[in-house]
Amino acid sequence: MKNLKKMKRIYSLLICTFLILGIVICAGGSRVQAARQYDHIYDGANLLTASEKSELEALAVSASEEANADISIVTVLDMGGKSAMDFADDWYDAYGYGVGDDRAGIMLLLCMSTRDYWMTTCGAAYEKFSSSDLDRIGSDMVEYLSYGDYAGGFEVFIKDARNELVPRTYGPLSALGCLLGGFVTAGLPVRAMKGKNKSVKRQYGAANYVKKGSMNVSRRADHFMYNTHTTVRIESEHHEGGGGGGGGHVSSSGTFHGGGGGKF
Amino acid sequence: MAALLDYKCPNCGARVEFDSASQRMKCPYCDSEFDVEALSAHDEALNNTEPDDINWQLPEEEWTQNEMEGMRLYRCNSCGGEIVVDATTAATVCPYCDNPVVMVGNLAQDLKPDYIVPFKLDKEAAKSALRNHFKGKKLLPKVFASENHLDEIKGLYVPFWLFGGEAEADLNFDATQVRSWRQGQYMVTETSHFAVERGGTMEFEHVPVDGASKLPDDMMESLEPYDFSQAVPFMTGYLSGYMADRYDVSAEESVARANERIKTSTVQAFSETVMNYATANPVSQRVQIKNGKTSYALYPVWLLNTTWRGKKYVFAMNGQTGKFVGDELPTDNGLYWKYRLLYGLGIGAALYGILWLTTLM
Repeated sequence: MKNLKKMKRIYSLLICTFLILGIVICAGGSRVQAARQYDHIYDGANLLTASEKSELEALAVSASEEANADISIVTVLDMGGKSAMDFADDWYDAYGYGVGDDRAGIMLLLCMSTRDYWMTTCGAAYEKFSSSDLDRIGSDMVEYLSYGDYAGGFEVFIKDARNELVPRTYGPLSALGCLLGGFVTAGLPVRAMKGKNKSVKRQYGAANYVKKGSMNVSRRADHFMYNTHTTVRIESEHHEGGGGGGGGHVSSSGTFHGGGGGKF
Repeated sequence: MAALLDYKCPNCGARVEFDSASQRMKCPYCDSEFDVEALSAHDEALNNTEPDDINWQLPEEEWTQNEMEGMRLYRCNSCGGEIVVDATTAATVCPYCDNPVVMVGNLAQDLKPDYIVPFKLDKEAAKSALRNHFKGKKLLPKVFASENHLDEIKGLYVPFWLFGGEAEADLNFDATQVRSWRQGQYMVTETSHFAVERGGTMEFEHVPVDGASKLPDDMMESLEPYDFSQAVPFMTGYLSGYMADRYDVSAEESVARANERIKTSTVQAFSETVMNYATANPVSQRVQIKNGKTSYALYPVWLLNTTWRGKKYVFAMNGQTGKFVGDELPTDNGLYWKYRLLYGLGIGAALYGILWLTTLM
């Protein structure tokens, strides 16, 4: 009885430790200070309705604050002959996008005449997006853009970008999940312990009673019969213009950018 | 009526027993040792001069025919006490004078055993094996080992049918080899199918099947293997001081289990010769057993009956090798949940730690 009480105390203490740890990690975010010429959503190609635009703007503002980096979208009709990458990088640098000294942020550029999209990354955000991250966000988004659902595509972009930038935190709920998972997993070793209480088991075969060296394989034939083929298309591993991560570049204004993009 | 056999020391006249350590007959009073065979011959000569003349009349109305069939009544040669035993009992100990007795009549009714593997380990070895059996079992109630009391411990010769013969196998498999390569934008996988045939023979010797219905088959199989090279031709002298059972499951009834085991091992051995394939599924398997030989042997088993909180637990030890098994032991639910929680907390903390580390990356 005394032992049980003692154990209960130890368990509750441990659970409290987990909860406190979770809360501390959750509270780790910080605020964003942005100073730039346009809103987060600059709809030069006029793809969004006023209500869509204000909803996306609100989403982008809160996502940027959480991520401590700029998450923004620019749509244009034409890029005046520039490549999507150059146009996006120049826009980003020229209009003061980005947060903090390193101008951290990610900006999506959509050009309607060439049907190009480009995501340019800068500062701390450059580190956070690998080329495969950008490919994934791109393909998530293109599903919507190709059908003309621009608001839907932009929402996916903002949410995906935010999820990459905000450090994953594991609060009380996941601590509870871990404990539950541990408890379930612990069933295995304890079951093995229980198995030790059982010692009677039927014999599987009669391998102990084979006369040594008596096995004689007199017939051994392997006939080839037929072949079957299956063909699977390989999903392309890289989108055109995949950058970021290891493959950054310097824009015309001399700022270091990463990024990735493609057609929609 | 059947003859009752106990061996008297030719030196001092006390009863002599089989000594598992020296593998000879030994007189516990004058320490004389005798060869089993010599003593058997000596005893036979003595018995021939004094023919047994015991006549039993049982009250007929008290026993039904069925009940009678399962029992035998003996009179102890040493003290004259009456002993009622199972019809399958071949050797026992007199409950009045502790004299070892061998029911030759019960053995004589049926086949005489061909072989016997004499006891190598004594009662003390069985007792200490029981104590060791409880060690390292974390979920066993702590009081089990101390409260569990030994009701009975007996050295028993268990009747076994031994099957041997040549197994002839004929197996067919559908086997595949798989390779894949890249062709432009496509991954091509080629599966080659083969018809694989294997055939041949292998010999089995002395595959044992428990011939006593009283003893659970799985427990007897758990005690295997016995080293047959130490088996000797049967002589009743070896039974002295131990219990022995006569078979009550016939060889014909036991043959199915022997076939099953021989077939399993044969198929496994020949399947292992199918190599270098990604998959090999058996299409047909045929195993025949030729030149099958059956012999009848007695194998030594220490049986230990214990009780804990009103429940009986049976344990058994191989009297030759010391291998020890027993009924499933009870689990302490408190201990079960204690370990479950402790391990759960440990694993849970480790999981959380790993999750937390990923946030730093």
